[in-house]
Amino acid sequence: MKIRKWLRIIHRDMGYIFFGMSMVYGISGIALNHLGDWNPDYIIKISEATLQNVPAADDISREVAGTLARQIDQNYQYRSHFFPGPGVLKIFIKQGSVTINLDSGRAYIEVIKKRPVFREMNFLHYNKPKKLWTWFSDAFALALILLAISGLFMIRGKKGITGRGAWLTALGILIPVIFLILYL
Amino acid sequence: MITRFFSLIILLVLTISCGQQSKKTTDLSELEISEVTVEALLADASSYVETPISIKGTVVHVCRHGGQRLFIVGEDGEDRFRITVGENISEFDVELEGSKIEVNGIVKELIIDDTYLAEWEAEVGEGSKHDRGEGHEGGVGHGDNHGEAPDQTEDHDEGHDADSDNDHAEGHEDHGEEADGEHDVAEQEDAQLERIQAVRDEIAASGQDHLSDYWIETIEFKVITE
Repeated sequence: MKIRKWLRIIHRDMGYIFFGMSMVYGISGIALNHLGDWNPDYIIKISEATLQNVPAADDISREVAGTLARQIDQNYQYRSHFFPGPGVLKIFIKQGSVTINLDSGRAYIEVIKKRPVFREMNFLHYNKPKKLWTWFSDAFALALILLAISGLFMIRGKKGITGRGAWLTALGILIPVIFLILYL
Repeated sequence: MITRFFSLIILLVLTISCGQQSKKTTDLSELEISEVTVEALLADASSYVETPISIKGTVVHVCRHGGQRLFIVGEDGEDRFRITVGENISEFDVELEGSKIEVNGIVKELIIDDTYLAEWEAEVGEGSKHDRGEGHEGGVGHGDNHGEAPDQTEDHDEGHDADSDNDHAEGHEDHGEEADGEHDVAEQEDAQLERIQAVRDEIAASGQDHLSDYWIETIEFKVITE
């Protein structure tokens, strides 16, 4: 039948066009579902060290702060520093930050790197570009609806919507309904 | 045929979105902006509510989950003030930490009173909303602009939570995302109820009928290179 032919064409071509978007939303969706377990935007490494002969707050200049950071790692590049509290120095380095207890010399190091791929995908998933992206992602959402509807009626016979398809479709609707009943 | 169809859709989307963008942009030239220091703003924030201001400070923390807010300190390095993204800013980059920035934005206020706390408490009772990471509207929390950063070197875990990811201390809307089973949910609800009570106590101790939380919603910002 002619309408079935068009459903196949729509399903096929929209599938091609929105393959990339499906990957973006699918992968970042899993990542964002588990925010409590990890940070999908940044790789944060935390370590500790103990520094010797740490000067008093009054004696800490930009140069001294830079030297303290490089005592931990020669590659640390000083950016700025400030004193968040009495006896505490926080040094910002290009790679993250170093917080030092000036009395004990204990240093708490946080190195931050952007997590590639996931960060970009999350940026799109959260609609941070706004503007035109809002419309394109709306188009994707609409396409998903069309993909779902066209998918229902593409195949006829016992594997189509009048046969196995009906059961599977019902199951797919029932599962979210059960969750709603249980948790809403 | 199909190609024409999709071309039309794309053209339509482009046309509509271009038309929408111009309506949303805040025109800074139309605003009368006052220059304020962090210290002055903290001392008298209520006078600046809904006022466009320009403020300079050093970025000491950027939210690790989405970069929707950052904190700046003034010259004395002690008091900090929260800055959130605005309609023109999608996120703050964590690389801003340690940089001096100038922010133009609008001072916002959240009034935390009995009504607010009652709504928050009701939502905690419902539970499920917080499990989904939704939560009470407004949700920017309070008291984030005051106090010193914790001494991370004294207590590793406490320091990390308190300074590296203030999102969870800032607003109750974020709670629940970390829920992992009913036990965790119950613990989080208890923690939120304790927090609500602590805020109630704080209001009672203040002698007023509410507390206010202030922050700046960014219109634009730039990094100051020295």
